Amino acid sequence: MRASWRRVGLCGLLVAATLGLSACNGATDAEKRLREALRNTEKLSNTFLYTETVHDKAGDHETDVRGLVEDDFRYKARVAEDGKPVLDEVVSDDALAVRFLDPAAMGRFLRKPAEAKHGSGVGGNGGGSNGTAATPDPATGAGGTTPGEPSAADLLATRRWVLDPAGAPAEFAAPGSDRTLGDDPIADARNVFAYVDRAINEAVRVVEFNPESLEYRKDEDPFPTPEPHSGVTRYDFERPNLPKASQTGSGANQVTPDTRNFRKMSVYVKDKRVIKVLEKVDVESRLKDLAQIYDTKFPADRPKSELAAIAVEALNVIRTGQGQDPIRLRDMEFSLKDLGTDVKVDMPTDTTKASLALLENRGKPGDAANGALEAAALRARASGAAPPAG
Amino acid sequence: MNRLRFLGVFMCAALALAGCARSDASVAPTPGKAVKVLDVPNLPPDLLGLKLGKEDVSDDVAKVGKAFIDSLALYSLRHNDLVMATLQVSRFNDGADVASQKFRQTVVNQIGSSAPRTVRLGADTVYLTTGTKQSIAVWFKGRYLFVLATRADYDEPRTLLRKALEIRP
Repeated sequence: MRASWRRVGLCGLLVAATLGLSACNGATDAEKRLREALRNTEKLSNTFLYTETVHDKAGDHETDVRGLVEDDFRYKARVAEDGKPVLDEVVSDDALAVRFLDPAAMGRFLRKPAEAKHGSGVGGNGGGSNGTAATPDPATGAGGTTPGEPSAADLLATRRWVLDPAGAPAEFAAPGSDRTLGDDPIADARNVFAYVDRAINEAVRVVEFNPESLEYRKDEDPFPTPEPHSGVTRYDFERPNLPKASQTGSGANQVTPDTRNFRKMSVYVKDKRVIKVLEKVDVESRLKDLAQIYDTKFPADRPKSELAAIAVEALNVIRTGQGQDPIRLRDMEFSLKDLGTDVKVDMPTDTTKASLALLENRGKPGDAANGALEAAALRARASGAAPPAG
Repeated sequence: MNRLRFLGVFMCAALALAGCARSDASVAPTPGKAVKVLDVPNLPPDLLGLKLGKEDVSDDVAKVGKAFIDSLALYSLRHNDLVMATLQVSRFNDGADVASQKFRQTVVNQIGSSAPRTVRLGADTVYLTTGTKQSIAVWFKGRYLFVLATRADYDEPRTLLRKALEIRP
């Protein structure tokens, strides 16, 4: 008799446990709702502000991109570095217009010496990425300009608009692309939804913000709470634990911590549309774990922010040695407004035509080689050295 | 550019449609031999200066075992004699669940050689993918499927796509 009661009790426990497990489906529902909101929002015209603050040993560096999007092929953007406007860009289908408000900041945007990484989709202008031969044209000047005409470099240096009728950037990186974050802030800003999609995949789970949850830690939450009765829902991403030092991947390489292990991300949704994305790559809160895993000690007399920068620098030495993207120690905020309103993008009228292939990920594929030469010449001029022979 | 290359795109799309038959239809697919030539009314003589010409692909269509389309037209877009792009317009048969997102994704996934990316152009949703030295755009309009393939070295693929989106079958 007593044994049967025990059996009943055990069954009760199992039922309770099963019901408890079924509650785990809530995370999946939150993820579905968030993905639906992303899909709803990416279809809409908008104005946006993307702010990225990168922390390194030298301090903090802020890049803002603000702009408006008519549709995926028509948008305009202004880039500012540490509050100072640097670059204006307007894209309308294949046409690209660019001007530098601060020509001294052009270096960051110049085509890299190595073969440009490939873009995807219609009109990929990634430097011969679609198999197009990209050889320098001796009949034209560097950068594909007509001899005697000012080159794009000359025009951009004088803060003038330059129009490349077929120079629009390669289509934004598809999920899983190898474009490195930070190389092209405008593409980063335009690509936030794909980035959030990847972050969802990399998170342990997505949950709806609930300050009364047993798992919630206010002291570990860097993001603002939605205002009461605002109709805003916040979705939080739970980051995975750090890999153990003994853990190896598919090869013999040690698994090094990734951005996913440090990322805190929240997405704010209102009326089934995304209105804000916040990300903090938070290494400070995992310094203790890093010290344990790598059997090291961080100096106690240094500020945590400095230690985090040092730790990331060390991790990035390993990561880049393994051919992986470096971890970018950053805070990112992406805000959307005017969703679905009648936003129109007009090209500037006071433009001069030239190839913009000297800029990374811009210009016709056929102009890429000349663009790389022009970019190299500009770099050499800036550093006072002789340009490389063509 | 020659006939062979644009046929490559066409055949790829046609076979993709045949592949949808297994899971997404309650009505029998159309045998390739029964697929008719589609007449798209009010087509302009050119798109963005590229001369539009109808290509005869009836022999190639007949070779396809079964398809989810009942009529099809293939146009070349030429600059002088050089084919810069092709536009394939197909009409789905009654068995195709055209309104279903799953069906559309199944079709799109079988076209091109890279994972398709969805973009919004005006009110239209377009799927972008790539082929060998080609950029491929795919979109749906009612029961019609459009596949625009452009040479990778063509200077104005996005402007051409924007123009092609104006075509109403």
